[in-house]
Amino acid sequence: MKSRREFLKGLFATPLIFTSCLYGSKEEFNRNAYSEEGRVVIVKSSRYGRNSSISFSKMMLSKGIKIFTKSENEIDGLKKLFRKDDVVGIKVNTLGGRNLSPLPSTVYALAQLLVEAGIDEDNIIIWDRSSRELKRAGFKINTGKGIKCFGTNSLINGYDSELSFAGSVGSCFSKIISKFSTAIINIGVMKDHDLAGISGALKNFYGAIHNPNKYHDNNCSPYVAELNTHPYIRDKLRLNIIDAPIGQYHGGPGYNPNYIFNFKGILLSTDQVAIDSVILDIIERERKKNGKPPLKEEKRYPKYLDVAEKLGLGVRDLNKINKIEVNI
Amino acid sequence: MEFSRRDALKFICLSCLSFTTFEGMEKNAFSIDLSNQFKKEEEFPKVEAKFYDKLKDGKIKCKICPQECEVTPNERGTCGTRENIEGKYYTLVHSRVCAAHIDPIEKKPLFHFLPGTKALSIATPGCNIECKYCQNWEISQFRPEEIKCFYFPPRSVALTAKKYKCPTIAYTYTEPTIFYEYMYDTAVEGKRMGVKSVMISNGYINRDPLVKLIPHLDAIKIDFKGFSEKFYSEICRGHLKPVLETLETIVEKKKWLEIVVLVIPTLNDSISENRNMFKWIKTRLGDSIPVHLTRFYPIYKLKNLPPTPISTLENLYKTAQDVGLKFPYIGNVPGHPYESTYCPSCKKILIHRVGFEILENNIKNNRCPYCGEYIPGIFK
Repeated sequence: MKSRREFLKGLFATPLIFTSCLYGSKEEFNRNAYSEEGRVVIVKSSRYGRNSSISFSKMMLSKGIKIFTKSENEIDGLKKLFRKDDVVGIKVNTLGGRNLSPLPSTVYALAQLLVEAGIDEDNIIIWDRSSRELKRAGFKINTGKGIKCFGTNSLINGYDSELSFAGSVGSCFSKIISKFSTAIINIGVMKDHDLAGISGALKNFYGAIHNPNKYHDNNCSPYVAELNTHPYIRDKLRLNIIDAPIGQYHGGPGYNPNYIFNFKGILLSTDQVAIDSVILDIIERERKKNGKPPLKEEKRYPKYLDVAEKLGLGVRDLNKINKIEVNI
Repeated sequence: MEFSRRDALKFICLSCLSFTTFEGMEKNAFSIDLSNQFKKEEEFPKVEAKFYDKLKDGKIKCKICPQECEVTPNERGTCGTRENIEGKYYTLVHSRVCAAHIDPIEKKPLFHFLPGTKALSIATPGCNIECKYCQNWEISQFRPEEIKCFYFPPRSVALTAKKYKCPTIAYTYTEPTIFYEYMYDTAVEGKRMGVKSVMISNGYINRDPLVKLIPHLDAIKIDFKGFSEKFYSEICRGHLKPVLETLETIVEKKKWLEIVVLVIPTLNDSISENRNMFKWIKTRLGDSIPVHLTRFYPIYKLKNLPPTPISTLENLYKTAQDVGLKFPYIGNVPGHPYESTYCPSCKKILIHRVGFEILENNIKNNRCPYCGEYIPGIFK
């Protein structure tokens, strides 16, 4: 028979064991969350485009998540990437307006999948730097219950008051990434950038700092790469998606209908450098096809990709990238 | 207060219960509450920018400052305050004020311009360069929508200056070049109502906009960051040559000019570099330009350096005098004797300053009352 002392000891220990069994520590999960260097999955469908429904986008994403995470189904796949108690910030790139931003149907499809994987819908934030740009891209601002959607500029004191440094970048980060989110999904587009060369996954985080306009010289290098080494990004980023019903091979970063090509696909990876290397290759091929010189000749080669590889952010060499393409 | 065994058990059991709700993970168990975090969206006027060229594919080239940013649609230039909207370039900071104060004119610093008077000092967010030691980075290095601003149109600025008996409006704190259109309109409105205008600038502005602005201004203070391209490019994300051209243009157009040099230990404090700067000022701008050698305090991205030793400033002051500059000053050292104005001829004290306070002003009709030496400036 247990003494009172033993009984009390047991009571104290129970909740502790209980909670740690349930979730473990966040840091531990971050370290062990599913990731694979140099692996990029591309899901394509001739039916994927601006008018795709949420259910169709969901099917595309499900396929991609399942293949990328080598899981039985997309929910199991997402569980390898996210904890139930995560607050997931979905960083979209909405600079290109309605025509050249991630499709709202795809972003909401992803949010629905997260909810199905057990994440509270109140803990999902679709965000970019400004609500104005989100609205222009077709997103509905929601600061209330359910899946949230808003720009950093809608928050009172939306940026950290203290500077944070990553290499030569010194910036105040959006509180959505520094304070609110425990996990980040990065959704960029496949496009040319007049200064950076391309804007895909790595460059998207310029929308998470207060002073991106100060880091555009020298083709944004090494700034883009160094920014992505910051712990807010490196420790929280769980998945990169390039939403590419279309791509733009020239005249970016704003939308320019003269330089659009159909891609009809979604790319997924946990490796930012690999996914950007793949889209750079696609953009260069389209440029060639349309009589445009390589970015290097226009002095716009995205040097930051090479720097990013050196900083250990991923795989740059296309020959070393495991590209898996599926068609629906 | 003592707990009985019963109380202790009750407390422990309740704690366990609260933990078990964790297990069930009811909906919203971990929900974040952001309900009090949002601000009301504010709209400010978008005014078409004055200096830009239209390029192909909807691109524009900004001509307001030497950055000459080429900006694609929906994008902004280095300053973050001007946006290409469908091939037209707009300033987003016209009448969008983030700071407005009534300051002593000495704070600008302008020492030979209406000493002892007040200036209604205004700023909008943004800057076209980025000094690693920016004293006002919390407003100069943010985009306008990231800063709390209020609507303060030109006419209201001029009326406010009159109401508070400020003879001058100062465009200051951030970089007025990036709110050029607002500064221009306000200076015109001010002049109409008898209020003067002064620009407190980094001098990073193109000649054409500067020349068109100068007739509406009464004085200009330029931050001369250093006398090397290396310093400008590595510490300020700018270039030296355009600043030199601005200084020469201001003098060529006969506008009252004062210069500030913020002296930073190890970066721009060498005697030889500063001697060359002083020589350049003397030969190209004249020996009567007041040069304020001000003390650096660690801030923003330069927190690893100590404040400037006062001896360094004193050595540079003496160097400036040796080169032949008539009106060097030491700044940011309240109570230092070299804050005051001395007659370059008889060496007697003309304006006695302590900090921003004027204790005595002996200048009469731009002359030293003791020896009659001409003292340049706008003293009334």
